[in-house]
Amino acid sequence: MRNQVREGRVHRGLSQAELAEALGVSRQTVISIESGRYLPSLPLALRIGRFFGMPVERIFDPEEEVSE
Amino acid sequence: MGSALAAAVGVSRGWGAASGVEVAVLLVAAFVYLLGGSDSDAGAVLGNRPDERQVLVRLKSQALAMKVMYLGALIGWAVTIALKGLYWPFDLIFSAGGLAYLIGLRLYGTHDDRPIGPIGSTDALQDSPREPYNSMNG
Repeated sequence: MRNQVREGRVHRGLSQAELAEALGVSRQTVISIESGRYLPSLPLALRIGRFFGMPVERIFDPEEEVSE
Repeated sequence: MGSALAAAVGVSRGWGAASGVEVAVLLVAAFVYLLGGSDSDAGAVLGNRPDERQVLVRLKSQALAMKVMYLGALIGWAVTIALKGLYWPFDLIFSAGGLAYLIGLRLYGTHDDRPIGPIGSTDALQDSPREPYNSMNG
């Protein structure tokens, strides 16, 4: 699943460690989320949304295959 | 626990061997302590401060370790039987592991033992009959 976490973090001039501390998770988890290797839990996704001031569905974009 | 193991070795094989075991235990403890302070997944797990993702990492690692141990016990069991040795410790391992697995399924699974009846039937734990879902009902 694609997400805008890295873009949001860079836009705010934060390091991965700083974002991790703000969210209450480890730096490795922020790395995993940004690379799409880990889907955060609902509470963590909501915290991310609140931190960036954006709806969760704008940050996390499920990749959908559209057949026409 | 490591010291208890060293004491057991000391009783059975002499205190020289126990000293070696105790040194090995202390070295492992020191390694775990140092690794537990590192900024890594292993450090967070061993340092008892995992976040939600690292809890999953720990669970997967434990599951992998258990599977490998089970396989090792299976090999040991087969070799012991082939050599006509006492294999009851391996029976104990398999029995305990299998029982723990079933207990885990019961403990961590979701249980809904009520029979699901048709719409309009009464659930065992509810007084009112079940109604079909309608978003207009709220």
